[in-house]
Amino acid sequence: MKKRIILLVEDNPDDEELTLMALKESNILNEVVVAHDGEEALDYLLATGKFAGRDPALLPQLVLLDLKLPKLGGLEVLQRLRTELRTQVIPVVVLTSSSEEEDILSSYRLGANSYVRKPVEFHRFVDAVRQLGLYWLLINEAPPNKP
Amino acid sequence: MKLGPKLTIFFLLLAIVPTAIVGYLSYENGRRTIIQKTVDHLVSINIFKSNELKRWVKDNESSIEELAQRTWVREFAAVLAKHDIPDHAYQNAKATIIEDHLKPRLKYGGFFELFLMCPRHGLISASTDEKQEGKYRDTNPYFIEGKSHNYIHGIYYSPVLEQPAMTMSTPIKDKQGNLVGVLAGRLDLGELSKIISLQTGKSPTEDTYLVNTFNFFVTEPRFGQGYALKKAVRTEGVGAGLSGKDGVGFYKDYRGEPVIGAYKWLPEFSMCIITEIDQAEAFAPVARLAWVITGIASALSLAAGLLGLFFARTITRPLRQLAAGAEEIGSGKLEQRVGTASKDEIGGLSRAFDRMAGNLKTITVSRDELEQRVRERTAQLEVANKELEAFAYSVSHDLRAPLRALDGFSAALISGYPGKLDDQGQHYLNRIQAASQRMGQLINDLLHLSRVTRREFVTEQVDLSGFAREIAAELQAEDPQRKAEFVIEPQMFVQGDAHLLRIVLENLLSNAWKFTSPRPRAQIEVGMAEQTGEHIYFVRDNGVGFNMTYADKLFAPFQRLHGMREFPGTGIGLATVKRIITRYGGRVWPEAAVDQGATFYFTLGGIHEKTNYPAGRR
Repeated sequence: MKKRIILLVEDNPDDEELTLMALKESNILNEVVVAHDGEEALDYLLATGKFAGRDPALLPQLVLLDLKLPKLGGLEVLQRLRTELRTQVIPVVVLTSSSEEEDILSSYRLGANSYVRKPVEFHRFVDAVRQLGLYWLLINEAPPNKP
Repeated sequence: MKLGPKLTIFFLLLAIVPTAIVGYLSYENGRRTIIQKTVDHLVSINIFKSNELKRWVKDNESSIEELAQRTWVREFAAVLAKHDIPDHAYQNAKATIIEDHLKPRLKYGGFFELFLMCPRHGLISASTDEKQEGKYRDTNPYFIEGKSHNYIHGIYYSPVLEQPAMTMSTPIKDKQGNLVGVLAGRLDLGELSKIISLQTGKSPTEDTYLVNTFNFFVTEPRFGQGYALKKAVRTEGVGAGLSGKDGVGFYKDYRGEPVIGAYKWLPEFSMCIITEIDQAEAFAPVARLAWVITGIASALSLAAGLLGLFFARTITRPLRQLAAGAEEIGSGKLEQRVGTASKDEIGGLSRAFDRMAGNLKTITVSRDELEQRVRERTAQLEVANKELEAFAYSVSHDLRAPLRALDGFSAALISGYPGKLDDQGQHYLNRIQAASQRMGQLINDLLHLSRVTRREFVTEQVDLSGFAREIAAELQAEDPQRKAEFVIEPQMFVQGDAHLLRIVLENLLSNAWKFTSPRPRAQIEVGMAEQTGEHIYFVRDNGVGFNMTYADKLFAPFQRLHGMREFPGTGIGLATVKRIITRYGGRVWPEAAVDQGATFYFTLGGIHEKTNYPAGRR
């Protein structure tokens, strides 16, 4: 069985740690790769830059994408992903603090599979992450991972 | 009408009206003078000719009288009167009278026949016309009257002579004063006609004649032959003259020609004298006068018209320039100047106009600058607004993250390290969590408020009553234990943005719900009142109310009149309501007292009202 990697794109170390903590508390033990900005996320997904040696066929099972990122914003990353044949169908869940209508609409238009606002209360955040993991990693049938 | 033609017409009128009046008066005056002159002339002819007539008669009268008073005539007349038989003495007397006295007199003119009548039988005993001798004239007026005094038998038609005749007679007396005969003479009427029809001037139509009481011509008129005592004339002038009047008239004469006629009754002859002149001739000078006056008036009018035209051009040229300048300036060419050099009023007006155009230009430039500034400010404001939005966006994102960390890590502490913290430590951690959660709520509400301000209006028909019922049901569902009564006026429809209007009702109703919580039975009313054509909506409750002194503070963000412990809340709800109502151009205001409940009224600025409710929505 292939490794079901989760790509977490998050620049805020607090949020990164809280997300990892929440995943752990939810007993989601999949490998989590963290990209700290948009560029890094794209490098990983497309096996370029510092991830040039990586097997590009090996794609994450789920991308958790923050919108407000240094260098390349989340929406730009999303737009780029959807233009690449290989990454066109990867499930992307936008996980962000923003509840702006504009952001929600743009995300869906650019092909996000889901949009989740990070609740401020930790217990609700943990709850949201657990449900996400459960759904996208176990219930949802992922697209076939072919080169 | 343009000024040019107006001025021309004005000048023309100015010339024509007085000229016409003066012309008419001159004409009238001239006409009257001419007619008066004609009339005077006619009357004087009448007087002159009647005097001539009288003189002619008088002369002949004197002539025949002188004959009758000659000694020889008297003696021989006595001889003729005494002797019945024509003896030698008789024959001698007769011959002497005829040859020595009567016949020589005929040579002087006046009479064409002189004869002597016997006083007893009127027998013509001696006559210059032998054929008449031996005839009796005892019934003739000239014999009967002539016996006692001088007598003139007026002009009559003599059947004997077969022509008009006039006979004059006078008595002959002897030394003792006894009547011895009557001397009579037939007057030559040709002479009379000559006198009467004598032309006094060069007039081609002047005509004088006598008419007797039988309306017969006595003398020949100018335009007729053989009319005397053969033809009657019945004209207006003749009628007036024969009725004994002296005067003048305008009428048609015996030819049917219009004339001016003077008539005069001559009582001593029982005739009237008529002098006429054709109106055509008499009025010829009047017509000439009319032509002259018309000519002068026309010349004057023409001159005035030309003068008017000239003035109109002189005056209207600068005016036209001014109008053209005004047109140019009016169409936005503010640099245009009329530039008239003349020193008159029009020049002044032009210069004033130019100054105005200059000022207008200055004003326009200032206005343009002002508009430019407004545009710049608006652009700056838009930029500032964008920045504010960006700021709000980053607040939403960036402030939440540390809060989540606060909450998350304190939660991790609480759950991950049980027993390592005492109760006090545990309490502090709980407080940190509560505070971060409240701050999260505050941020959410603030963002909500900012979104209300930025949202675009979508206008549609909104059922306020329906919204109120839904919100009431939601509130009741959240807290099923509470006893509450909602009274909602049905069919309140307005035109507006459904989302924003729902936020208004949500805030007002949830406030009402919140502040009625201490009441055993909450009463909340949603309704509408109409005041001076304006619809006022209200939400009323029987809650704890508030002191109206602080009413002003209610609508400012984060302002609260109750403690957090009493009633939870962020103080952003009414600020949101106020913003939405203000965007509609409406008003919102409270009415409340402590423990007496509160009522919030609001209007929607009128234009969004809709009172004729569609049947389908009932």
